[in-house]
Amino acid sequence: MSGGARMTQEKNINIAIIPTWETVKSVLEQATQFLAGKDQDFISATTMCVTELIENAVKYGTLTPNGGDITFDMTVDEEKVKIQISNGIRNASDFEHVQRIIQHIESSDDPQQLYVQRLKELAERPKPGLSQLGLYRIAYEGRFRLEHRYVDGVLTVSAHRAIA
Amino acid sequence: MGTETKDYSLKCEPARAVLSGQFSLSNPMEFENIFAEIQQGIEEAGDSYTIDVVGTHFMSSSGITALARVVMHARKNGKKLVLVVDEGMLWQRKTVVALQNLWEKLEIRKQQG
Repeated sequence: MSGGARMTQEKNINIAIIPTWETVKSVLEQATQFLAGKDQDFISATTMCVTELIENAVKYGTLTPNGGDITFDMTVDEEKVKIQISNGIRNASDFEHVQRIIQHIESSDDPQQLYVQRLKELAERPKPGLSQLGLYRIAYEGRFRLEHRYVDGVLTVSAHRAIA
Repeated sequence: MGTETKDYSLKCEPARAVLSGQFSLSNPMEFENIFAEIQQGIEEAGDSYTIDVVGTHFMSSSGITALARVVMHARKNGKKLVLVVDEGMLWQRKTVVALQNLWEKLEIRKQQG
């Protein structure tokens, strides 16, 4: 190799998900096996991120406009991991809600403070409801950066971080 | 008393609850139903109540929210609450920091899982 370039070995896993709760467990098992050999905290953070994103897609998402399944994609090399979940959405307000949360998280340099604030709001509600803590947890506990895009009726949420 | 499934277990004793397994339920209301038993235990307990999550290797964000509501419930009822955790587990380590931000008097005991 010339110029001191590093060749990184990249692994990828891509799964089409039928949106059921049994599927969430199955994907989590496959993702955990896929990460074997990595640091335990990294595995915990990444499997947590996978679980939270897939649960959101199953809870709030639908099949894509062309009838496609929810898709899960994860790529890992020696330095970083990237996770992507794509799904259809029921209406524009669902997308706007996700967009607001991700923009809120990404505009802050203190994910712990955002997470604690959100947890406090949820804990003080007189009645329980939808948690909506998952994305905040991915940023705080998992140390992931979040992105999203919405094209042709398909919402894709991505999370990425360095392995170290 | 308690609940047991193939994924998780909740054992409730007087003044103590032990959670173990994987809590990844499909609906926040399922967590509320499970944790209602803990909230009742807190109300009926003497001065102090202990929640042991050392054996819980995963809890979803809905479960963490329900746990936070239990912390607030103990605070409102004027009961001392002790949370026993395994610092070796990332989710427990990070959640403890957040829960102590909700109530600085929450007592944390660290154990090896």
